[in-house]
Amino acid sequence: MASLPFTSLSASDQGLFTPSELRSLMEKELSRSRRYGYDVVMLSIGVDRIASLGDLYGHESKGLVLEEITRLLIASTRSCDFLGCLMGDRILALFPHTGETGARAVANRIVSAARDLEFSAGGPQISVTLTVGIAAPRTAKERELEPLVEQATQACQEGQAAGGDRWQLMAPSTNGHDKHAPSLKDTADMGELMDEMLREKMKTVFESMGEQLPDFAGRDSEVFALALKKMAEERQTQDSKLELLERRIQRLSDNLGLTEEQLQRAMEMKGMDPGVASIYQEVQGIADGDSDKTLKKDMMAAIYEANLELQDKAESEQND
Amino acid sequence: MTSSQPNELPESDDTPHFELISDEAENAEGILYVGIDLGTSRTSIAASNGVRATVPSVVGYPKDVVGQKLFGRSVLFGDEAIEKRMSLDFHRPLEKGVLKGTAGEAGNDGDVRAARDLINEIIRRARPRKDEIIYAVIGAPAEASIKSKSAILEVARESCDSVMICSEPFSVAYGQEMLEDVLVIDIGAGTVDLCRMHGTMPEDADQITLETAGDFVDDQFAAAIRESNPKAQFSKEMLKGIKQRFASVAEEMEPCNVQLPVEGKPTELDLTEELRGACRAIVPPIVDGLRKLIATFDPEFQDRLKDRVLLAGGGSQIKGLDIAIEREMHEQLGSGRVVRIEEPMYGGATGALKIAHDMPEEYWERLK
Repeated sequence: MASLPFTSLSASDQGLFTPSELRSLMEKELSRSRRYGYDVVMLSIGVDRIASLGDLYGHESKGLVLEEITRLLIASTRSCDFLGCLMGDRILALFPHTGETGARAVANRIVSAARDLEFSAGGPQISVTLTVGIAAPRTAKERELEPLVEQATQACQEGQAAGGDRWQLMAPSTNGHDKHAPSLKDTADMGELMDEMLREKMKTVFESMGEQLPDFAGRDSEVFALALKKMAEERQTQDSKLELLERRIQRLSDNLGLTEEQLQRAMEMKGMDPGVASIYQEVQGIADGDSDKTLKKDMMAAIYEANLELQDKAESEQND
Repeated sequence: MTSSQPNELPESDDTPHFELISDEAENAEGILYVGIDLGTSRTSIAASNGVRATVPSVVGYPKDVVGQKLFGRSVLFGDEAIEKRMSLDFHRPLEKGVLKGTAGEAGNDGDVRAARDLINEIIRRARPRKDEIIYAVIGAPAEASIKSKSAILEVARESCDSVMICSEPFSVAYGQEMLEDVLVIDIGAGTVDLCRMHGTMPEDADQITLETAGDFVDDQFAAAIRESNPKAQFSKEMLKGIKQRFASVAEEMEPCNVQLPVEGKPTELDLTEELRGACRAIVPPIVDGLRKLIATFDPEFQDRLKDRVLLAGGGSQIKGLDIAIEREMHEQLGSGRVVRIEEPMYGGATGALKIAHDMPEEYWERLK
């Protein structure tokens, strides 16, 4: 994983990625996503009320919390995701090949997992909550580092200002924050709304069959509760399957990385041609030294420049 | 690239030669990349959904309402237009690789309209989905003027969301992934384009356009028939048909025995020598052009360049042409190796498609 583990969320010189390294990695990934047209999302993750945590329980407790949160984030993300910190106490994460829906799922997972964490720095038990700001660009043009960092940070700040313990989505193309994600605190209200919708739906179904909704003799809430329970069980089963699949993907990805490293070592020892080892890099789009690729890129730029010039000349002739 | 298509199998209509529909037809991006070879004789297209199509570059409009009712359409293309040309206002919108009626070329508004309709038609034959954005790269003759390139861009913009023009022989080389130390000969109907590739974008000094192409062969063939059989009657279309069937520069070629009317009576004539002579006439100017490109190249790499000559375009299908050029190169330049590309008909279009694919999205966006 391209991650920045830290004991403090400030730049570290203990062999960790510096902010400039992280910036460079993210810029490369964003450039690739623009080139190959795949989705990326940027998350800004903040520990709610982190400043007062230090004041109340001491600086050590703050460090401990951040360390644990980092571990949690590393465990909750994939090896190909970029995780680190550019400045301040907020963690930034860039998720390649992930769209808005995926971002919501990851954010949900992170926010939920943080609630279960408990810390003890030799004193009272401390619980923390997280707020995740999401920037989900929809076009290649929007996949630029600075605007994405700004949008994700702004979403995170707004989420924290609204009470924290939630995720908040900022979709750049909406030019604002009118795509707020519902707060997890609204879950109860959402549940009631769902009950109401379910009731209406059942009424419609029965009416379409030319029948009246049966009188459950005041037991309709029990019926709905049962139905909801069944749905929850089904969802839990699906979630377990999904988790299993994600773990398998993670394992495969790790193994692929190990294989590539071994091949790289063997190649260096024997002075071999990159051969198979280069395939992995090709797949990942990180291969370098492909002179044709650079040449083609330059040629594409030259064709584009020539056409731009042609277009400008044609336009100026038309204006004349 | 233009194409006169000698030796091409006769077609019953101008439907695509073949089409390959791949899974990409349902591409999630909603973008259809197309490469177009807008030729004097034929226009070909290769698209990212796997469709490839080619149509003779002719357009016909019914002369009156009766014709329109008879054909059931207001415009006819390709072989169908050729077949019914007597009842049509008939246009060949391209000449020597550029649009007629532009860039100081002789022509009229009808030719420009015909070019627009032709591009519309060839893109329609690529079967884009209604919601698909179309990005096109169009091949133009190596030495086409800025004005003629602008004219092509203008007419193509109506059918495409973003268009780029690139040198036709360059797109052939790009399609073959031969970007270094290669000479490309692209023989069309209107022009023969020669291009020297040396690992960078070819500049003006790397490209030569000759007019001794397919139409030149037709003219030479006609002149030779007039000389040997002064009373024989024929049209340009008839000669093209004969050329497509028999064209060869080989010593041992299939006898070109055809029937032509002589004073109204169908008469069998042996035109083997006339056709071979006409086809051979294009070899010396091509080798002379190659010599200029080789002589101005780094002497250390001249031999390598001579050994890597690509022959493309419809005109490359003249039987024995690769060997004839090689032989002429040996005589004039000391050595030479010529390789005819597979599928010369689609070499330009598939190369242009490859360029369209490799072009970064942001460039397409900026040219919209």
